[in-house]
Order: sequence, then structure tokens, then C-alpha cells
Amino acid sequence: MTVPKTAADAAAEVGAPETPGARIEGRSLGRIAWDRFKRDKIALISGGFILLLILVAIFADVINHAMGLDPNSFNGGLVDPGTLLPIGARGGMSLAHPFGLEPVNGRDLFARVVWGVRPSLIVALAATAVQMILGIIIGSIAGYFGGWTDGILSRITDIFLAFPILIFLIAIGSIIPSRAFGLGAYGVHLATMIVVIGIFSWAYQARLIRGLVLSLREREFVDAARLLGARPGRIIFREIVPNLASPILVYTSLAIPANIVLEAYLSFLGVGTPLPYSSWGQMLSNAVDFYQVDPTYMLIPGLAVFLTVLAFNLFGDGLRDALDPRAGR
Amino acid sequence: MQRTTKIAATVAAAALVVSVASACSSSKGSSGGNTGTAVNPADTIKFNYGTTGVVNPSTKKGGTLVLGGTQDLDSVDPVNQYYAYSWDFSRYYARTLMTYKVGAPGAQSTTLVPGLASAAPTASADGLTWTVKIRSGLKFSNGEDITSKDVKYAIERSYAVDTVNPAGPEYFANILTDTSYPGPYKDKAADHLGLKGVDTPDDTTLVFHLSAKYGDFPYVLTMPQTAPVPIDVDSNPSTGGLNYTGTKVVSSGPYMISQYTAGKNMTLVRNPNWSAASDPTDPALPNTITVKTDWDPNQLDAALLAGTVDAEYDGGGLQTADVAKALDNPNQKKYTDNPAANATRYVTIDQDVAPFNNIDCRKAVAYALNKVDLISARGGSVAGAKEANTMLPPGVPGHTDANPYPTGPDNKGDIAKAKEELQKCGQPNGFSTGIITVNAGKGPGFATALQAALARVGITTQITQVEGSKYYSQNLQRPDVMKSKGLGLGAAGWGPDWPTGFGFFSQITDGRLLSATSSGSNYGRLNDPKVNSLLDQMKASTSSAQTAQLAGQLDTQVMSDAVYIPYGYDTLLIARGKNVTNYYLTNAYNGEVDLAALGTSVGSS
Repeated sequence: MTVPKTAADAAAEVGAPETPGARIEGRSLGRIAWDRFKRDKIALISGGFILLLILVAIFADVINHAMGLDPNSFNGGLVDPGTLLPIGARGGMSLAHPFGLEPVNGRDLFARVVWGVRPSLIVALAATAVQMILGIIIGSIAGYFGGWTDGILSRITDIFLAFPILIFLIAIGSIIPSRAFGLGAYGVHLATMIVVIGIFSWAYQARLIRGLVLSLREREFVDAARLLGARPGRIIFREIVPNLASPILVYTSLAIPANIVLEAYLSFLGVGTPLPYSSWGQMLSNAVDFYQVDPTYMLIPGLAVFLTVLAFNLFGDGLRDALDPRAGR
Repeated sequence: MQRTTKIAATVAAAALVVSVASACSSSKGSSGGNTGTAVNPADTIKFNYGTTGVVNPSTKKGGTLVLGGTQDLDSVDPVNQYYAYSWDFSRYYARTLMTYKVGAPGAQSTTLVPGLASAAPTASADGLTWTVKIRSGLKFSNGEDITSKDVKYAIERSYAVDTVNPAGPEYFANILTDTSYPGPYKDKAADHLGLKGVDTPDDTTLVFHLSAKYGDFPYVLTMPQTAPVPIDVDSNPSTGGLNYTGTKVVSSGPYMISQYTAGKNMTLVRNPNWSAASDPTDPALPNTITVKTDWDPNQLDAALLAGTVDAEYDGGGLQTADVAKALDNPNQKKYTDNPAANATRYVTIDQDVAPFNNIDCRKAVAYALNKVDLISARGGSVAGAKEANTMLPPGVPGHTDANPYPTGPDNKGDIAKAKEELQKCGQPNGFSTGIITVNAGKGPGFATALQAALARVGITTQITQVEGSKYYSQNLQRPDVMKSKGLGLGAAGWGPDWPTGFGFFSQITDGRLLSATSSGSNYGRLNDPKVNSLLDQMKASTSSAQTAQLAGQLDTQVMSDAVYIPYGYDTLLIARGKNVTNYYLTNAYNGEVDLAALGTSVGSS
């Protein structure tokens, strides 16, 4: 015999209000997850920060205009002509220039950090999208069909996993043309980074998806679909993959910070965003020469990268906990 | 010659630099001038003393001199050297016919004195024949006698542009008769001395036959290409030709190369066959000289300020962060000097790239420059450059203080005048063009500063960055490449091959040196008949006063063509070690340290 549950237990299980007598509403998976997520303060804060970043990226020019700052104009008068350091303590921080100034040319750091959110997010989000789409397609085909198909696709996956992406990107970076397909230098650089990062990073996700699909394909609903005459394509993309929504969402939110760091690496090494546009990695690269005499110049973009990556990581963790609390234990 | 800059690291090694500014003897504040010989050495340890006086004078011989640099010599074989610091360095092992006086700081540092020659060369009445006698009784480091034939042979090697001299100067091929001489390796004469432009009537005499008058010829004789090379050693395929490098180089100077690893280090020891009696110019104080050529720039700065390296030989100067630290710390500042490098930094405009064929569009660029920002990009007002408004640097006779394109009272650009010029050239709303720069060092900073300055008048620019090794040979010197990529503007710097107006202008402004496929060093492709005629007059002039006056006129004419727009005269902030003696900067080698004078105060003989 089943043990009768108390009203409170029943309420907690389906997320209904605990006041006795109130109508119990059915809650969807998403609603349940959202309620769980709401309780995780850290994940909420991280999510809010990410939202803020996206808004900053979209409205960067508006924000800079409102502050009266420009990321590319020189303020030679605010820099000491002999030592080339910003005049004033803490790297030239003041009300007019809240993050201080760049040495040598006096460009405002607040405007440059704000502007730099765009390339970081664009590359990270777009490259992640490419990466996930490729990973899902290849991983699920390999997992579902098995046999020769799986064998070949898995070997291809192994090759791409072993590829030294950083070296390849540096090599490509030095031959990127200044203009192509109607895009200026900036557009071409971003497009190249997105395409190359996406094409060479899908292997990890493909492996994960393949494993999940393998475990799902023996389930009854798949057999049922097959018996009803559904073709493999429909089974994979309409039956199996939607069940993988949670892990896919989590992998996506964890791939984004990795790509942010990758974009920063590339700009640091000089193959990312072209002159004179700002990017956090490029600021870090310039700051290395000055860290002994103007540490602010290194701290500001460093903090920006750190906080962004941290936010995405914590958000991803929170998302995973909310969607499937038993995973990861 | 090309202005070399220290190669700044593009990938940051996380090197922790601990700069030890050890406070040794605090300099007493006595008003030490360089009055005669009775100067207390301790009084010379002051900021910038080395530009006008000898720092830490001493006659002490012996010890090991430790030199450091971030780049190797461009060539150990003297025939292929074109960097100023290589010319300076090779005096240790390659004695040239004429040389610059050693031990004479400041204005005296460009005094020409005989080196291998026993006296200054004499010219015939028509100026087409020059005669030089070399000292007798001189020997190479391998014991062989040095004769005039070895000097002639060395000069012949400068003609071998396909083998041993791909990158060095070619003055002899342009000045002497017999322009078709193919070099000693293809020489038909059995004794390899087939060059008709030079005669050797006896073992100590050389007679040069010039195709036209050349007043600066004694300066040409200071080139390392006049250092003798033993014919039998170089004719032997295993020790000569392209193998004549490192320890195989036979020395005619006070030291010889005892060890050499390319790109890493070199050691020199005394040449046993050199005698001080036969060489009044070289003090040759240390017994051994060790050279490390692959220093990281920041670590080299720290080593210099700590005293573990005596001097920097490559003229690179302190890195930006170390400049800031040194200027703010008196204990470090007194070990630094701030010489003028006698070189000009300028924006070069390619006339073949529209709309720069129109002189008013070029003038618009000249008025729009923000010279303060450009100088900051070069390293600031102390360690980078002083503001420049004409091409000739202050250290070359003929320099004027004119300013044909004033950039406003604060030197940040005269926007109104620039827009006026744009109206005149038919581009009232500006136009679009390309900037080419090197992708490392000061290149990116220069390009962004130029871009920001020109954007204010509506000239929009795209920046193309290329590697240093490809910057000149595959871009700036190639008119077809510049035109096809739309690169109207570029960064350039130039120092004189020798300190006269002709030595400065001849390679960069002579339109007759241009070819369809190469601009040489005349990147803007200037071909002004008035300029060419002034160059010819300077070339023939034997009076330094007349040369100076002609140089001034040439400067004015070049500026009026608005193809080269100068913005800075290079300066350096360079550190010296604590133990080095007889340290001073010489204008003969673009403000770099006179290596031949150096000694050390520590170490036993």
C-alpha cells in the first residue's frame, strides 16, 4: 500500500501553493525549473549580470554618448608627455573618466570596456551557436545510427578534438584580408573568428550529445515512433533531441565563457579585433607593458573578463541545478 | 640607414622583473663640467651627462666588458652591415680606412680621423682621383700582413650583391668607375683584384677613380666595407664567401671573435697581432668582451639598472614602463642619458595613390597631424622624439628651424587650414585611404594616432598591419603593392649614413634612383628636378659650409613637395651600467654609445 502523502508534501512535489484549500495548478517542466532557479540567489545575480552585459553590448554607443565619452578619441593632454602615464592616481580615474585612461594616448577606459563587450559577446554567442548546432547534428546522427555511421563520425570527431585550435587561429589571423563580402576589417575579423572557433570546437559537444542519444534511443517512445513509421530524421530531431533540451542548454551556457576567453586570447595575441577597435583581450595585451607603473590599466579589462566568465559559469551551474537537480551530484 | 627599433615582445612572457635600484654612491651635487682631465668620476654619474661629457672616465685596462642587446648584429661579416649599431660594433674587429675620433663626446664625436689610413685621403685637382696610404707593418689576427690589396678586395666584396652583400650599402658601386664589376667571386682576374675603380700601386697605397666629384668621399671610407679581408681566406670556399662569419672573420682590429652563436651570444678576446702603437684611435681597455644578443627588452633594462650589464649596444633604449620608473626615481635617472638619435620620423605619402597625386590633399594631411599624439606613440617627449617640422635633424649641419606646415599653437593640428586644403584639392568632405604599419613595437600606436588625427578633418583610414620583415621589402618599397592595396600613408624613419646633408638626403630624395618595381628608400617616389640638381651640387661640394647651405635649401624644397611630412626627431632614454667606464654617446652612430671607448672598473686583467 502506498503511504498517504500529506498536503504539504503533495504541494512541494508539484509546486502548488501550500495554503490548504487553494486550487492545485499543474506546472510545466519549465515552470518547475524556473521556480527552482528563482531560489538560487547566485544564479539569479549571474543571470542579471548577463542580461546587463547584453544590454550594454546593444546600447554601447548610446551609453558612451550619454557619458560624453568616446572609445577611440585621444586625450593626449591628460597623459604626462614624458612618462606617458595618465595624470592622476589610479590610472587617471576621475568622475569624468570613471575607469581611468589608457597610457600613451589617453583613451577613456570606460568607453573602451563598454565598447569591448560587443566583440566578446558577439563572437562568444555566435561561435557557440555554430558549435552547438554542429555538435548536435553530428552527435545525434552518430548516436542514433550506430554501426559504420557512428564509426566514421566518431573518428572525424576525434580528429577535430585533437586539433590545436589556437595555433590554427593564429595562422589564419595573419592572412585575414582587410575587406571581403562587403564587410569592413572589423566585420571580416569577427566573422572569421566565429566560423573558425565554431568549426573547430563542436567535437566536445558532439561526443556528449552522442552519449546521451545512445542512452535515449532504446527507450519505449523511440520504439513507438518507429513502429508508427516515422523516418529516422523525424525521430532524431522531433523525438530525441527535444528531450535533451536541459543538457543542451547547460552545455551552451558553459561553452560561452570558454569562447569569451578564446576571443580574449586571440585579441591578446594580435589576431582578433583590428585597430583601432577595442576588445578586452587587446587591452590586456597592451597593459602587460605597463602593469608595474599603471596596474589599473590591467585590472580593468582583467576584471571585466573575469566577471563575465564567472557569471556565465555560475549561470550555467544554476541552470543545471534547476533543470535536473540530480545531475552533477 | 634604416632606423632599427628594439623588437618589443608581442606575446608577453610573464617575467617578473625585479629592478634593483641599488643606491650606491650618491652623486654629490658639485657643478661638474667637463673641464679638462681633473674631473672626479663620481661627479659624472648624472642624468644625461653622456651626451656632452665622458661618464666615469678612467684609464684602467683589463677586465671583462659585458654588453647586451635584444637583436643580433644584422651581419657579422662587415660587408653586409647596415645597422648603425653594427657599424659601431664592428670597429672591435674590423678596422676601416677612416674612422671617428674616440673619446670625444658631444659635438666633437663626428670628427673624422685616419684609422687604417696613415693620413686623411687626398683628392686630385679635378676631384676624380683620391689617394690613400695605409699604415705599414699591420697584421691580421691570423698573422698575415695587411696590405692595400686586402682593402681593395674587401671593397670588391661590396659589389657581390647576389652573395655576400644583399643588404649592405652599395656606395662604391655607385661612385667608382667600372660599374659593371661583378664581384670577386665572378672576377676573371686570377688574383681576384679585377676592379678597375681601385688601383694598388704598392702594398700601402690605394688610388680610387671616381665617375664624378664626391665631396663626402672621406665619410664613405668610414664604412665597414673598407675593413681589409684576407684574400686567401675569403677565396677558400670553406672559410670565405657566405661562410665568412662568426669566428671565421679575420680581425684587423684590437679584438677578435673567439666564439659566436648566431642570435644568442658572442665573445671577443684581444687580437694578439694588434699593437696599440699602430692604432692611436682605439683605447682597447677591456681584455674580454662578452655579448648576449637575445635579451628580453624588459629584462635587459633591469640588468642595466642593476649593473650586471655594462652597456646596451643596439641603441634600443628603455622600454615604456621602465622609462616612467626611471624618470620618477632619481637613483635610476642618474644612470640614464637622453641623446638625440639624429634621425627623423615622418609620414610618407605615396603620390601614386589617389587623391595624393594632388599636392593640396597632401598638404591637408600635413596640417591635420597631431604631432603630440604621434610623439607619444613613439615613446613620449623624453624617450620618444622631439617635435620636428623639417626633414634634417638638428645634429646635421644645415638644419633650420622653419615650419612650413604649422600644426596649430599646441601642435595638435590646424583643422581649419587642413579643411581649406581639402577644399582646394576638390575633396571638401575628406576622402578615404589606407595606412600601412608594422604589427609590433610602435607601429600600431603610430597608426591609430594618425587615424584619430585625420578623422577630425574627414579623412577616414583603414589600417593594414604587416610583419616587420615584410614592411619595406614587400610593401613600402614596392609601388605596385602600395597602389593595389590603396596604401596612401606609411610610417618611416631615416638617419644619415654619415653626418652631412648629403649623407641624409641622397638615398631618400633622389628621383633618379627610382625604378618601376622598386622605390628603394625613396618611398614617396619623389622626383623633383630642383631636388635632384641640389643633390648633385652637394655631391660635388668639398666645403662643409657650402654643403650645409645646400642642405638647408634642399630641405626647404623637399618640404614644399609635401611628400614626406616629418613629426619627430628621435630621442632615446638609454641606461648605462654602474661599472662601465668612459661612456658617452656619439653622433657618429646616431646617438648610440661609442663602444670602442668603453672599459670596465671591475674584474682583474
